[in-house]
Amino acid sequence: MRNVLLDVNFVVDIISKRMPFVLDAVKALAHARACGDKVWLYTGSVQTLEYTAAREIKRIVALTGQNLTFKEALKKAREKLQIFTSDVNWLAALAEDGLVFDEVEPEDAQLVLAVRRLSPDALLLTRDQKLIGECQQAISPNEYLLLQPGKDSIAFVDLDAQQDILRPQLETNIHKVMRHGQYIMGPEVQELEGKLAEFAGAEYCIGVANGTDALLMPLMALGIGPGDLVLTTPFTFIATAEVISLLGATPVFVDIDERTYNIDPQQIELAIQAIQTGNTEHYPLPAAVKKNPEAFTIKAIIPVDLFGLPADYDPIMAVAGKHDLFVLADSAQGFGGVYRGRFTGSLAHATTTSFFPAKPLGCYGDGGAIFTDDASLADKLTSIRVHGKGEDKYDNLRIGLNARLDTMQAAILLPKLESFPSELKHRRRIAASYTEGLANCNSIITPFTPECCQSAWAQYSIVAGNREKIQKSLKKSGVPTAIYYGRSLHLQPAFKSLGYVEGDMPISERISGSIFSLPMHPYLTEKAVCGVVDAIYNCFL
Amino acid sequence: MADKWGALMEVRAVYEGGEITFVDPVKLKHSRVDLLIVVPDSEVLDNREAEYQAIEAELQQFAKDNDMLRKLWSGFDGKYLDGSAEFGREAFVDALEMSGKY
Repeated sequence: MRNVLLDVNFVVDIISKRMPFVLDAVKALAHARACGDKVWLYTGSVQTLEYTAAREIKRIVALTGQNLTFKEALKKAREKLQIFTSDVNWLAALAEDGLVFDEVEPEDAQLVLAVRRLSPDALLLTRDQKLIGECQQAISPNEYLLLQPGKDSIAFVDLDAQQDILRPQLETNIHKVMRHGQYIMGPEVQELEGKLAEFAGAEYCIGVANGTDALLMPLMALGIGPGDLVLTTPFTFIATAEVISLLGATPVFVDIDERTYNIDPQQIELAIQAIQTGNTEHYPLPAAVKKNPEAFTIKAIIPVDLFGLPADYDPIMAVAGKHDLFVLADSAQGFGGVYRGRFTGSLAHATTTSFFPAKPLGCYGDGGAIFTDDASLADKLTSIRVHGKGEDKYDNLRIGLNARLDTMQAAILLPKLESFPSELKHRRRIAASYTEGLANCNSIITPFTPECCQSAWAQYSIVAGNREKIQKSLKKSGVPTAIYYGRSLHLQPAFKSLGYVEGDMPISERISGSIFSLPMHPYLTEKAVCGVVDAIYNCFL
Repeated sequence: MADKWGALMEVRAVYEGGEITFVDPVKLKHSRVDLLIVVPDSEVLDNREAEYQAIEAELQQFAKDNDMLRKLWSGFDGKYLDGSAEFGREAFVDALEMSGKY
């Protein structure tokens, strides 16, 4: 895929059917579409476009025997420009584009600046020979027709496609933040928190710096530390368990359900019983706990909504209620997931999510959020977020963090949240297409979604015995894949001191040795999904 | 021109489908002979016009499969502009003046 910026003359040639140039321009436009190249227009060209197009339309209409006033021609030009631009991307004019009055051709100089900003290998499509001579990125429609299509590849996650749709609002919001200058805890943060809480059905939302801080902060608020145990899944990203160890507490891993890959509620009960009764042989436990279970207190459970699928919260909350444990839902991948008609964010005592760029709701850097209905917890989290502040940040009630969500990231998330419900629908449609397409492929296991759940489909992950061979074959077919997660946390070197050994979490170990994820994003076309499905079938021919 | 041939004789001929045929039978000495043909000015097609007509035919093919092009060119009734005279910035300035906006 190449980026192609159109000069005014190119557009006017097509709109006003200007001979002989129109033919090359039409061919070049068709070539761009066929190659999958992204076509751009520079917003600074708008006035020249409409006035030049109007003039030419006035001329061509005169050939049909009618005489348009300039106002009428301008109206027609705008109608035709509306049609032409409905399928192009608008490239913003920036402040540096104003510094061109010492140039021989200020308008050309602006286009050169714009195409350079677009990307070093972007092309400026023009028939202006002078511009072609002066700008290395400028190319005539004829020369462009000689270029071969770029390699057609499927994106694992396509943030560009989303940006193409949301660009006007994203750029406006970024610009707004630059103008009001409240880079820390600006109005966008509060606006986002309100909208996120409403979406999730939670009383409070606290925007934080990243998904890891989001997990760490509630544990800090609960005062979890040395001697405390927190139960969690071994089949997750390290951050889930890392925060437990960071506070000096001990993670206790509980194996997963073999169909959902989420923590198994029945095994949570088994692990608790093993600890509380001292029958430490009944469930694999950290060495220190095995040795002296009385020295530890179970404080919390962290279920993970893996790949976007909510964990089984009813039995988890029941176990937690029975043993007076706090449930912190790690919904880093699961924001937008639904469990028994309720969105994640309202299913546990507190829920965290991550806005890492590749997440279903992602920003353009790091970001995260915590949801809760507990006012007292929300207060503590708000304090911990800014160095344990009280009345202000120089009044420090507790040890806290520097964990604020950037205003800029909140500004980026606001338009993304607007399109999030529609994106979730697309993700579900794409997941259904994968599942339907792969239904007859007996060598793989497609994701299982319990009837009471809707996944946010952060990932579409399949299990296959010969993973490496399949991945290699898919790569050859231009299908990217990724492994989430190739090693269970209880076997990670970082947790060696816990004393877990291979075989302690058999389901997690088996799945981590055979699972991999397929391309998944809301802008994946049906054609691309079919291509992936066909490529998978071909692996078994 | 006549110097090349000497005395000239006028003969009626018809041009049809790219071939010229004598209306009145004439026998020529050689198998290949340069002739001087008189063509009415009104029948001569400008080369550029022919080129543009060929392009127009090709554009119609593009428009057949392209809704956007059909919409863009609706109302032009097969007409097209001769863009051989360059306008460039002058066209824009000209247009601005015509608009009466500035």
